[in-house]
Amino acid sequence: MKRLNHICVLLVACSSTFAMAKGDKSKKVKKVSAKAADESGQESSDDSATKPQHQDYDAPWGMAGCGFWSTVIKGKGRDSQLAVSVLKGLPYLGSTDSQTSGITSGTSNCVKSRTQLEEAEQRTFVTVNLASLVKESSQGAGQHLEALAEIFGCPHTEFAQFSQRRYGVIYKEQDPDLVLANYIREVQAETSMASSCQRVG
Amino acid sequence: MKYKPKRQWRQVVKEWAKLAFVLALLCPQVARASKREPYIDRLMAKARAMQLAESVTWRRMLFIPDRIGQGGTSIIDEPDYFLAQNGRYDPEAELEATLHGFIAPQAAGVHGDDHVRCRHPARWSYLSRALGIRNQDLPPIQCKSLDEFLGRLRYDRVSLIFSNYFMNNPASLFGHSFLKMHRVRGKGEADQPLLDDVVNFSAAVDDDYSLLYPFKGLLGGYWGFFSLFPYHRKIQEYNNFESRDLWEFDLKLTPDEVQRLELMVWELGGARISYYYVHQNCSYVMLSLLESAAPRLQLTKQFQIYAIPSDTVRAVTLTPDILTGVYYRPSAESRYVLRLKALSPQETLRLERLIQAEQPDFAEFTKDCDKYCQARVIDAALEYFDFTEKLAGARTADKYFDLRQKLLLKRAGLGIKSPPLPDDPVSSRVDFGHDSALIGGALGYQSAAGGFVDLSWRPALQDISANAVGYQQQMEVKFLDITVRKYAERRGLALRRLDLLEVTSLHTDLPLITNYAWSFGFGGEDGFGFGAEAAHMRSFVQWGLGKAVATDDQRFLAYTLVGTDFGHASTRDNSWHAGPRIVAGMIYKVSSRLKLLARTEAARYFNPDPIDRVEQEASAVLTVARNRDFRIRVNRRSAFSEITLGVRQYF
Repeated sequence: MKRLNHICVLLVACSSTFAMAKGDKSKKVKKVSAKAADESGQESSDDSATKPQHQDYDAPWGMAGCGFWSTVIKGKGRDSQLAVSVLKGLPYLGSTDSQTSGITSGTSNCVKSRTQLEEAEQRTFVTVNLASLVKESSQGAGQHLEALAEIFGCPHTEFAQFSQRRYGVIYKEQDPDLVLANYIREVQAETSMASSCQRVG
Repeated sequence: MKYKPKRQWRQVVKEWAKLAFVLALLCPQVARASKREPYIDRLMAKARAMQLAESVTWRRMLFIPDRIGQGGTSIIDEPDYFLAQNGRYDPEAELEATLHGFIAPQAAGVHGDDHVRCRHPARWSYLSRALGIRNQDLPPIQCKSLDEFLGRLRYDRVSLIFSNYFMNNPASLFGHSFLKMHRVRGKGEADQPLLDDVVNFSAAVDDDYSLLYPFKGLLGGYWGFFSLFPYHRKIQEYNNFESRDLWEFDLKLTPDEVQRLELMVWELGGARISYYYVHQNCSYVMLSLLESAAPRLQLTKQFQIYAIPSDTVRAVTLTPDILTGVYYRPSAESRYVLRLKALSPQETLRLERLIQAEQPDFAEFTKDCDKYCQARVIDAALEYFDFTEKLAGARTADKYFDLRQKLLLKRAGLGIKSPPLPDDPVSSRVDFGHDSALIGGALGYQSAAGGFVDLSWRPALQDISANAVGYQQQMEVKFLDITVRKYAERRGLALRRLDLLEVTSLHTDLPLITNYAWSFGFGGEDGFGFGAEAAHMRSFVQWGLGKAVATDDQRFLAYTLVGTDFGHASTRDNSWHAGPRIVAGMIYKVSSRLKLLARTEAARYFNPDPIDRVEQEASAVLTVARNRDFRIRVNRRSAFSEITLGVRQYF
């Protein structure tokens, strides 16, 4: 039972992730684990205890969703580890793929520390919402900007004004990694922001 | 032989001592085992006496639907989800296996989270309370992962989210729904909806077989999975990439119910469920999940055969005392519409010039336009880019990359804050709409055949003649729409018309955005042939492309569609036919209840001798209740005229 991976996925889910699954009933599924027999003699039906292996998550989403992530991130030629984690790393809840959480956490286990979790959350949020952040930063207001202020631990109003004021520097290039690095550098460089933001640096 | 009793006694004492030692080790185990057996028996006896296996709560936790003929079979296909061998089919066996699992000690060498109390905390929560099982009476266990999960993800509220109808994808024609879990916020802290989490259920579709997709979707050929992730991802996907409005319905659930929902999400984890597009889809499973957390709710029972997302939303919102708030999250297109509303006609012109110019003239742009005027125009332009370039995720504009960069920089330089979008939904609140299915009856008179009665039925969804509240104003989706007729002077029922599927979009233009009207449909109808002989059945496939124009307030709309029609008739010879088809019509919304419609259609079928068809129709529809309307229709087709007076009931 890979319940531990379950929480790994959820932990990263809580640090801003999304799920993407691909599977087809007609395709073979690989046996992953046999359920441990409990003391009451409930032998697992281990021949049927199968779970699909999700190794390729580039396919479109199902009926309800769509595979737009491959066009909005991967389609732009981004091949950073983050993009991989966003696109392939986190299949549906309860995944048995231990690699999935390792990509974000940098280990094969769960996210190790709050800082790593924060960093993963910030990186993922900026990547997933960059187009909206760019717009709202230039406008000095918006819910995405508020959420980013929350993730950085900054006061919302000051952060929105700061994002607009330093727009030209922070968003000089619209690359999520650069934008995040610029944010951290610029926040640290401005005393009032550095002192009021709790999760930057 | 010399007898040596002393030595032998010593040996016996030694053996007894060994035995005593072994017994001392075994006794507690034996005692515990003997205590456990009666305990499990006692628990089972109590559970049987209380009929827990048949209780609504237990059945819902196992996802056993209230469908006729379903018996005790769960919809969950995941073998790992069940503890008993036949747990999927036998709620009592699953209950027994669960109770056995609860009292079992934590297996040595196996991670603690494998224990049944860790794997099924929702079941533990329910059964331990119902049967009075106390933690201290059971072997101690540790659920490290579960504790961490519950420690990190704390929720206090739940919303049902509806993602609006989406015409560009057949799978999304009927909308989509999912649940949002609100994270607990500190005292005095504002909500951060983007950072809340979403529980979604969707099919894992293999794109290699796109042509088979509808069939596999209908026949349960895909697995459906649950997923949990932040709401901001769904906003990017639906609001920005697909440009679909989102409607959020905050639900009044008790803290216990919210917690049980979270525990159910944990339990379900990677459990797979066969995905059936019609009756076991995302929306149905979301209702099942809500019911598993709050068994007092009666939500799925009414969806015996099919579940349409908008109907499932109504099933929730019509539950008394359940809504605590409704929020609208506009799509990229709606945001553009809302920003346009803030512009004066001159500012709209300024916007058009700015975007249409090959080299934008900023000097001209800023002339006689103060920084607030500039901000308004740029804000509208930014939403225009968002919509036309589908800006979601880290995507950047293609066509307008340079202009957008310049305008962003200019906008930031203005140093003023954009006002929030007005609370003026562009789309209509889905739960205010009529139910999806309809049954209709009409009395009529035809010039040649005399009096008749029409009966019609349609499981889904909306046509242009009906009240558009709750639907997209310029959308028509007819699925399995059938009308049969009985003439007073003829024997038997005759099929009048069957639309297996008919989809029409009469999307009108917006400033800088050109939309086309289009339609596609296939089905069967009667009345094919020459003149008075036009009484044959035919099947058809038809499509059209055209334009629709409307007044600013959308009360008057006119449209025209040009396309082709290909069909096969039930005549003896030359039954195949094809030809051009033109449709023109107009819709006038007199009031929120009264609608007038007129339509004319001309087609020529080459058979190979051409058969002309000209049809005119006018109707008035009076909506008297959310689910009822009366209508009068005058129709002239080929050599016949007819008038009908009808009523429709949606359900």
